Amino acid sequence: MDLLQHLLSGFQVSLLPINLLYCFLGVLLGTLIGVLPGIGPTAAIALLLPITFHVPAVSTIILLAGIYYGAMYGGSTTSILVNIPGEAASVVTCIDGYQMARQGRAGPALGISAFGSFIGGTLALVGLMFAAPAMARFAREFGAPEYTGLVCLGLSLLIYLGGGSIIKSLISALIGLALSFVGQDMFTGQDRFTLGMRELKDGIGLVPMFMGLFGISEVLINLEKTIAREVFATKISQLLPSREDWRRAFPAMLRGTGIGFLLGVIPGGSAVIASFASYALEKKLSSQPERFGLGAIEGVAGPETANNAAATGAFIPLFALGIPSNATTAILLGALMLHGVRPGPMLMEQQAGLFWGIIASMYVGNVILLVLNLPLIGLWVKILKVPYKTLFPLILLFCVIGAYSVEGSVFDVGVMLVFGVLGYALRKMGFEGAPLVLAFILGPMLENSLRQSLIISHGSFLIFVQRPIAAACLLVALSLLLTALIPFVRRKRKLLAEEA
Amino acid sequence: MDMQRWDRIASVVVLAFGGVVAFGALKMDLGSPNQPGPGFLPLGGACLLVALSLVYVVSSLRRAPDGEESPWPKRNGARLIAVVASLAVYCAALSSAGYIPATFVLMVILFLVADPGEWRSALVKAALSTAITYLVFEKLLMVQFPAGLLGA
Repeated sequence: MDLLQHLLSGFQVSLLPINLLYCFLGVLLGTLIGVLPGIGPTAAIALLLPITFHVPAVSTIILLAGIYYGAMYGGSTTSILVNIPGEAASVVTCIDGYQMARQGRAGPALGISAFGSFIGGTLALVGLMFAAPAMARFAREFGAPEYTGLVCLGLSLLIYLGGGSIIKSLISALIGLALSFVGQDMFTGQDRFTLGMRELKDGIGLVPMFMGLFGISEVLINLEKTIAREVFATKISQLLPSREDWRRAFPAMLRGTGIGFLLGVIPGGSAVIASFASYALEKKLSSQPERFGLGAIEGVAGPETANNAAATGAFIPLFALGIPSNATTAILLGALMLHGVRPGPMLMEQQAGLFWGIIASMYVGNVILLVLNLPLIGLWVKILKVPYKTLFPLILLFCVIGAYSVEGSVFDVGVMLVFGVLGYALRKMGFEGAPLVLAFILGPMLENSLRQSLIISHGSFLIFVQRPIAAACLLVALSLLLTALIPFVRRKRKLLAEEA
Repeated sequence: MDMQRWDRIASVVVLAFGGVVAFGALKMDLGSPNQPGPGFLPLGGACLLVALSLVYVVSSLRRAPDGEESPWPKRNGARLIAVVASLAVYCAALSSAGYIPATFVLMVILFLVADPGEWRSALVKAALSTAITYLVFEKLLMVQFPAGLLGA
């Protein structure tokens, strides 16, 4: 009953005309970003952060979250029509979606991915509504040692599931941690690694750093290659899937929701992994696995549902524990912090309006997306024809303005450029960006909880072993990193990463 | 140069970075385990980073040549350098030149990088993008861009 009341109050917030407008803008922009190859939701959210400074916190997150789950809808359009995924979570949709388009069934493929996205997003929201408050209640008992364990576990999971080299991912995370030390010490106020620069006293700016690592470096990577876009010359008609399509796709959607939701909740279990896991499962369960790769509708429905469910599931650890599970939610956490909102176990009590407002807006957003997506497919196809050479100077200009406008500082534009080049070099050398960002965001939390734990225990590291939750988290974190070094597991992870 | 050699270079760069962080941390108050100071965690993190980069150095030295190509682009390298260099000069010149002149020049260069030789189109697109962003951000959203030459 309480839940229903909370949800109703959430709808009161999300249905305010201004929030409705932000929700609409968010999902529209998200779909557009999903459609456009060369710019992903993480970069887009980083680019839009500065614009949201004058907007209330709840509207900001409604807008940015809309971009995140909206991109999951839009990504499938390019996969199906052009065989180029609009964003990473739609890579797997290319396999059967493009084949369906070649067989003249682009309409049902686009239709089923929109319905699948809606079902995955909406069902996962119900899960989010129940699971986030439960997790927050459980986490209320957590003290500093438990948070130390949780941060270590979150980072290890992200590194383990990331698929790249464990050593390189750990190095990435430690670089992120080292960068989080820049600025004044939170206990003593002493300057650390500021190189005598006044601009670094408050630490490295989140926005210029994210814009550099994701926006600029993505442009630089794309500049190397020529993206050939040839929209499949087929008449898109009959978007509604047939009864037979539904019979095949619906069970795949339900399974995709389950897998996606679970993988979304686990730190590191991104929408990308969820879509691949769903595809693998559908192929395994099918009585005719040979149909996969030749235009099986389950191969579109499952992954497209799973990536939306994962995107929604990722909000659970963010809201309940204040721990983001991937780079995009890390930036959303950054956005909340910039607005003075600290997600964690007390968020749902202290900022009930904000939390339930965002949840309700996601229901609204999913409906808008379903209504918006199908009629606008023609427009997305036209936008796909905008060449990247026209887009990239504008993306760079937008990055420059975004980085500058946070503090009105040219220094921040320089910071963005430095991180852009660094992000490019790291990506080229096979270092993952997500552990760096997550460690940078969680660095202050880790340092705070570690130092507090040691003060409580009078300097004894045994406190992390004596507290069961902290001990369990650290044990799992350590086991994950060690097992990843076992040759068999290492080969398996490499294989999965190559497939992805 | 193949990937293996670049890996060796990267491992040494990371090792040096770890060393710099450790050196910086040692100059701070480390405190004690029961009262950790500002340098406590930075030193711990830097030691871990140094240890991991040593593993990286050793593994890149022991790695047999596998023919993996250099990660850096063979084509379009000049475009990348032109984009990064023009952004660096823009950063340096923005305060003194001001938003409108600096951005116009930057956008002309970027559009020329995109479409070499298309001067007319680059000039028009650069003028339009500079004017629109100036009007939207400075006049509408009240972002205070540096006035520079035009403000004097």
